[in-house]
Amino acid sequence: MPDRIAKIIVLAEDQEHQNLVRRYLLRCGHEYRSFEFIALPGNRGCGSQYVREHFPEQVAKCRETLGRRASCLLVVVTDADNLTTNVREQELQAELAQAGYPQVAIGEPIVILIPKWHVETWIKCLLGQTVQESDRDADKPPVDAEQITTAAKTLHDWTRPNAQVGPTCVPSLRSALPRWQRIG
Amino acid sequence: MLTRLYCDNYKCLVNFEFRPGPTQLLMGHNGAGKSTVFEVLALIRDFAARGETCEDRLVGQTRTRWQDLPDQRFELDVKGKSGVFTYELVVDESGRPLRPRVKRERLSLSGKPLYLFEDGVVHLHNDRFEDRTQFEFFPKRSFLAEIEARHDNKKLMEFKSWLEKVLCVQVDPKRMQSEAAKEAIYPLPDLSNFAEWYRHLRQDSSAATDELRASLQGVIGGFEGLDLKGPPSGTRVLQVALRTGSEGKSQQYGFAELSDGQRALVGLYTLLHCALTDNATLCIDEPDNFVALAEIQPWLLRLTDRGTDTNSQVMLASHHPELLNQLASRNGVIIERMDAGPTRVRSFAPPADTTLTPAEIVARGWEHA
Repeated sequence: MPDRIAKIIVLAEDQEHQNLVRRYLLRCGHEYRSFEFIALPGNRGCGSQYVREHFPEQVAKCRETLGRRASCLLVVVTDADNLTTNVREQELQAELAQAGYPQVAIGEPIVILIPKWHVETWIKCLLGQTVQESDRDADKPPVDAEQITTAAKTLHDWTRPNAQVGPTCVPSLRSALPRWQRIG
Repeated sequence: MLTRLYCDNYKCLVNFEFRPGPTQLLMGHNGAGKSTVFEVLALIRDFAARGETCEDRLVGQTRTRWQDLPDQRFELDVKGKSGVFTYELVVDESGRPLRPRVKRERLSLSGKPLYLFEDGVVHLHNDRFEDRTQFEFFPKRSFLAEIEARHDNKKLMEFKSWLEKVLCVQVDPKRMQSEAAKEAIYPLPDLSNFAEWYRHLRQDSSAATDELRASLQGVIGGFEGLDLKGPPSGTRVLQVALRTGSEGKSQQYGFAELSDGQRALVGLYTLLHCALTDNATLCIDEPDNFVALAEIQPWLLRLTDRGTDTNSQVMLASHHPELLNQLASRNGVIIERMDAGPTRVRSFAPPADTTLTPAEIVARGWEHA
């Protein structure tokens, strides 16, 4: 990570993803001016495709800032949907390769967060609800902005040093907690 | 929260129905009727909650030009703590010369009556919906605006309190005055009485103005605070403390010495911190005017978050790509007119297979596809 992160750039596929990241960052003490959310796709049904298409461009822009006085951190949030989180991440890496860019290396200021199936799975488990991430209907009923605020508070609690992770935590979130700690 | 606005025979709004959500972006071409929607909300507020007459702002030239109907009709559905309030106002003309006249004004809660004005007679209902008082009243004003809180009209006052707080503004920094001869409870639509409103806020909402100061310190370089100078009972002048120079020495500047963009930011952040209180409805027309690109997103995200946190409603009308890209896909509606005919509203529905941003879609005119 660079010494000084001037801006946290967030590439997300939908508003719930954005809200969870933003509320978490605010909880961690970041200010509104320290992050920038890339435009959401015009069509909500094309979220993961939108993220994949914009991923190489955003990685390249992030790398451009490396070594400058103030750098940026890129946070990417996209659902695994019917894939595993590993396969979805490989898809992103493949997009980079196709665009002629090197893969994301450990230590680069690029953090990829992939909930399984949807971000609602994470939000609901953070709200103390028992959800199965193999359940594609975990996004029903939908979550509201107030619930996301509450979920972000729990997420912040779970990512603190020596925190006790709640029993409802799903595997994809448990394995992503170190990544959340990186952006906090 | 406003859940439905119906308007008939007012300018371009003919049999027009709009069902806004908690966060709503109004998009559309110039002249489509976005500002007119806010105008209707403001005139109902001024008439039914702030006691203005219907003389100058209704019927007459405000009737839809291409039809010849006598009545103007307005309806609001408002979701409150007690249920859904429905407000109805019907205005026509009578006398010589013709003058606007309230034909019927009615407020109900979940279909049960709280207030009725019809045939020149007011019917006041209590919280148990019983018709307890009837008396004659002028057909040019609303008696709702005169009603004060009592032990048996809490439901009516809940609606009135919401309506009083509805704000519809378009910040015009060039008109934001520095002098405050008095306190103003509400800002004018262009914030021209900003200093008077701020004078009131300092007295009435000091916690909110403290938050405002902290926000502006992060937004305007060197900003330390806003202050009103002058005698407590006389005209006071708004001043800004800025740290300037290499030593960071604090200097007082007149509010008018700030740039247009800086005054706009002061106005926008004041609205955010001081107007978005519990269950408020805040409508801002083109909030992006005068503001630097980098300033728009932090303000917008903070505004929508605060709207959620205070259970308030935020409606914005804008053409700006930043607002479109953040809000349109989920919260956007298109306000449009065909051949200068009546305004209609529909959800923003981009082409099914697109991965373009909303701003790109609008720039290409595909939001009308």
